[in-house]
Amino acid sequence: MNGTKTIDPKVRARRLGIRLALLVVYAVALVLCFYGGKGHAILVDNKDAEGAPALEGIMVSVDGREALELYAGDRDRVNVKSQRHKVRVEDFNGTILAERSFTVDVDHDMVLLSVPKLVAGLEPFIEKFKPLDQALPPEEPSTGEAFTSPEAGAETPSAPPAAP
Amino acid sequence: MSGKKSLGRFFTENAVVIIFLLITIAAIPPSGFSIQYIVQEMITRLGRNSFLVLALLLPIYAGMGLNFGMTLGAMSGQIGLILAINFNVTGVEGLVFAALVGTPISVLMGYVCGAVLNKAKGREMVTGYILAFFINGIYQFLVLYMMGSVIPIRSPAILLSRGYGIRNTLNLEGVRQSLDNALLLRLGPFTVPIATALVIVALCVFVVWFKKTKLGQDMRAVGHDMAVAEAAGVPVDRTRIIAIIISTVLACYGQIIFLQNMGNMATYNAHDQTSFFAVAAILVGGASVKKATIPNVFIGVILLHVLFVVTPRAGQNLFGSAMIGEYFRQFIGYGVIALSLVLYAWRARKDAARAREGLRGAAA
Repeated sequence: MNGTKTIDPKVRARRLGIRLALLVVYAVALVLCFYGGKGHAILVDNKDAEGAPALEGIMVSVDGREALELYAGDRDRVNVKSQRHKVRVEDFNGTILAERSFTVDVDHDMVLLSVPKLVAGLEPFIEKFKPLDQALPPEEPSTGEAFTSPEAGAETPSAPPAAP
Repeated sequence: MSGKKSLGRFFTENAVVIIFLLITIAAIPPSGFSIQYIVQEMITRLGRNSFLVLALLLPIYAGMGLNFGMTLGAMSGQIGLILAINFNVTGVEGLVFAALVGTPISVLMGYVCGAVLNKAKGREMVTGYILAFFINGIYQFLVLYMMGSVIPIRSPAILLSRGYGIRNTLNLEGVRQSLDNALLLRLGPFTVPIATALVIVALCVFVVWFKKTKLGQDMRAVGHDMAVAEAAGVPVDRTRIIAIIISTVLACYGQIIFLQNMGNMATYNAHDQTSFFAVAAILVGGASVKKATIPNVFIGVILLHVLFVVTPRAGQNLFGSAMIGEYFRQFIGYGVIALSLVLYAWRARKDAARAREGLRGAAA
């Protein structure tokens, strides 16, 4: 009764094996959830592209969802999960103009799908969306540290003088 | 005489449930809500809250009282959700991702909590409550200062404008009601979230199964009498720690289920009252510090939330101010916990006196 228990080496090995297997299952589940649930926004774009003019009146369906109705110059957004998707482009008469599968890079939260390029068979018809840089509004003078520093909320000395 | 005694015993044993039932029934007519509306609300709230309340069962079996330390699990779940939103992992996968991230954190938190509670045997509830405040400080430090500075956050949408720290309120749009809407059943005018219900049923089955296992029996033995259990060879401290770890992990999952239903998360105080409302619910359901069953959970969630739904409107209609109803929520929540604890102490004292009387009688 000295409090130490001798464990059979076989039992110890089996326990270790089970614990390692659980770790592997955990890691695999984490990776599967990450890749399977990773959301992407696809901007379906029907604007003039290099070598491919915008199309007049099309229906675009991603992954068999309800089709988007796009006219020349239109752009719409579809939110999808995971990386492999299928797009189908039809005209208003139901004629299939293009049907392709594509893969979205896991790092890309928002991609631009150019329908004119897709229909014209030009590559790449899908690319990472780079939003235009927007001028950020200036930071508000209060930083939330006014509790501890009386100067924190005061106007900075370098601030330009007010217009007369 | 015996019938009168047993009736009195029934009333004292179920005083909280009876008082609550009476208040609830009295509040329904002035609220003006239809029964259909109230039933639909209860279905939604059962799905939202039951998992959290079920997380309280195992520590009660292990004699550790009401686990106010479940807040630690709630914080772990919130960290999981923050990371799911950060990586834009959506849908049910996003919830599972959050649960997977939250699991090791909640296991660690549960271990810390269990170890601390083992040092404070007999005062577990107040220790758990205070421990939650302490861990809340660490959580705030982690989320407010470390995320975005030391822990990389790739989504600027969830960061404060200063560049580090998570925003006060997170929009959980990617995972909003993804479990609830995964499988919906329309029963006449009611919508039942079957997937959420299945998860709750699975937890109930787990609890029933767990009680029959060796570990479950050990927990009951520890809950009944620690000294006897120790003498019988049950590793008391280890069993208590396991009970708290399981409860904390379940609280982590419960908080994820709760927040996906709500659809947004108050980053810095969503977990504040998690344990408070879960404890109030299980006490309203007729549980005590020493004894709780699965029916107590569901009765409690229904009774507490019927009151939560009807009192603001009843307050508005009766007194012209919905704030009276809001006041009732807080007042009744705290009041129920206090009343239940007082009744428990009173009953324990009465039982001890009765036992002494019995011994004297036997001696005579």
